Amino acid sequence: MILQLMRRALVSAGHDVIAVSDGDTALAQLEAAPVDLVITDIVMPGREGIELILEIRRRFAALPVIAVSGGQLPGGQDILDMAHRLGAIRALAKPFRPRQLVDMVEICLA
Amino acid sequence: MKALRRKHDDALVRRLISGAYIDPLTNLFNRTSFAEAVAVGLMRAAAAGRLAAVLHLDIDGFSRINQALGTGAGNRLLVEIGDRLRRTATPADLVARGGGDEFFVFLGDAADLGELQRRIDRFREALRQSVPFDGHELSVSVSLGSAVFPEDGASADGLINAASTALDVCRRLGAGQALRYAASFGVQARRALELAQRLRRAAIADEFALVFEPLVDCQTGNAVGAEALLRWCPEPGLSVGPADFIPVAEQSGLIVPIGRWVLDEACRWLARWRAMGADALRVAVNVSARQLHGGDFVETVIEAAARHEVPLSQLIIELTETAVLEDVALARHTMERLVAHGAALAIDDFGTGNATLATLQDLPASILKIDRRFIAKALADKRSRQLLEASVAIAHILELSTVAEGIETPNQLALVRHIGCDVAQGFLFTRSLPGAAFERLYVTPSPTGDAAHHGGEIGTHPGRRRRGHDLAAHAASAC
Repeated sequence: MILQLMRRALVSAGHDVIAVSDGDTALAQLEAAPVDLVITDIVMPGREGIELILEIRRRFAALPVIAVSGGQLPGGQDILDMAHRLGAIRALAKPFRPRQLVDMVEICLA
Repeated sequence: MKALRRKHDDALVRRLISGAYIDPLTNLFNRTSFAEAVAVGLMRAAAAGRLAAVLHLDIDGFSRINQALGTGAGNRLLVEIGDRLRRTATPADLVARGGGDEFFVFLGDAADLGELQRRIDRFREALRQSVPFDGHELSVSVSLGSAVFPEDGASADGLINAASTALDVCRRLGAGQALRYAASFGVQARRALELAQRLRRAAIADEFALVFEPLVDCQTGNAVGAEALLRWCPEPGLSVGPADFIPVAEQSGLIVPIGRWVLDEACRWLARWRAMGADALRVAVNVSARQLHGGDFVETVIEAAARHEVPLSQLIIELTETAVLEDVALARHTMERLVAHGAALAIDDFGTGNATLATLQDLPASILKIDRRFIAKALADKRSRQLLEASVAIAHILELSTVAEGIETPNQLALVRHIGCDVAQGFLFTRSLPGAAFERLYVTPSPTGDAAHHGGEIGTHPGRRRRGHDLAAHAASAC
């Protein structure tokens, strides 16, 4: 649902978007065809977002990642702060407006 | 139903992430996530043309704290240290726990080396404050190795390894040190190891000797005792002072047998001087924290005195502020047992550490030794002088006699006399002397039962002290 909303907002702003539903598919997609930017949730089934960010850094060092998530880990660690420290260049807390996402993407691609 | 399952899955994923990257005890990044975060931090520092650094810290003597207070207490201490580091960190920094008693800090986004140093100092300062622990204060000493990007390492692993090498050198130097990585550390670390090996041989090969520095009554000028100082003579004509080898001895554990030898040798000289009739001369022996907390310290002292048939009342045990503060409760317990047997306790190097007179009041000390730097400063400026005067006055109220250390000039002697110090020692009187030379100059028989007449008495404040006459009441000889 959120994935579709994000996709629609970005396509409306003129971007090409490949939407996938988990981390492993995302990595396979990146291997198959280069992209300019990755947007990922952190809390997702299978390969979670932190691991995806670390893997992207290892395999595609220069590829920017935006983390979209929210809340804390059980010990109180802020999940977006963690994503930022581990490689996401921007972090966007849920809930957000589609416009915020589009603005952030454009800043990252500028 | 579906929403509920998703919520459950969310919580599970968060727990998994936490388990992989967060230390469960302190809720800090763990060693793995720290290394990843440093890699990111360095890329950002390089892009922005900023400096960064990695600090590797560990708590000195943590296993002893764990043993003495239990693992639960040790864990509470780790949480407290982690919280202090986190509170001190700027938003650009990252604190992590490296496992055991080790912590890491990444310092990001620094303009220059001066800024990095100031930030490192803030971390050290935050850890220097004692930790309230079950009704008493636990003083924590931390060793810190640091490495600066890009000079000391260009990759995350390289920088972390450099900081760890610096920490390793710190540990060899003794507790509470902080060092930045240097390419020459390989050489330094090897030297420290060689020194430890030579010390081990020395402990067997009888290369140690005691020298004696007279303790002089400020009013009469008479010697009232001596401080025994350890010298190491690895080869003829070469004498190494304690500052150069005690840290290595402490680190390697050799301090325990060496300390035992010092006590035995001090008692041997005392016995000899007693046989010459100086049966009231007192000898002060320096004791390190590791010896004090070593378990059988009290028995070691009692046995050494008994072996040479010397009364414990002729022995003064000198402890530095730092040694006492490491564990005040344990120091008090140990010293109370020795004082009950007649030994006197002196607090050494007062004015250099964090000890307050209030802390010292809890100890069965009867002598306060004021550090040479405190005295040198007092001559240089008025405020320091007032502080020194006040300290001496309070010491006297607490029934402590005062010893001024490191007196090298007549001006210094005049000052400490004027403000009421009881005893002085230092090069102004004489350099430290081998036992035989000390004996020729200072050891003469004391008239039986009336030693104070012969040697003079410190009691410049009659009626003030009950315990404060320790150094003076049984003076052995005139200078």
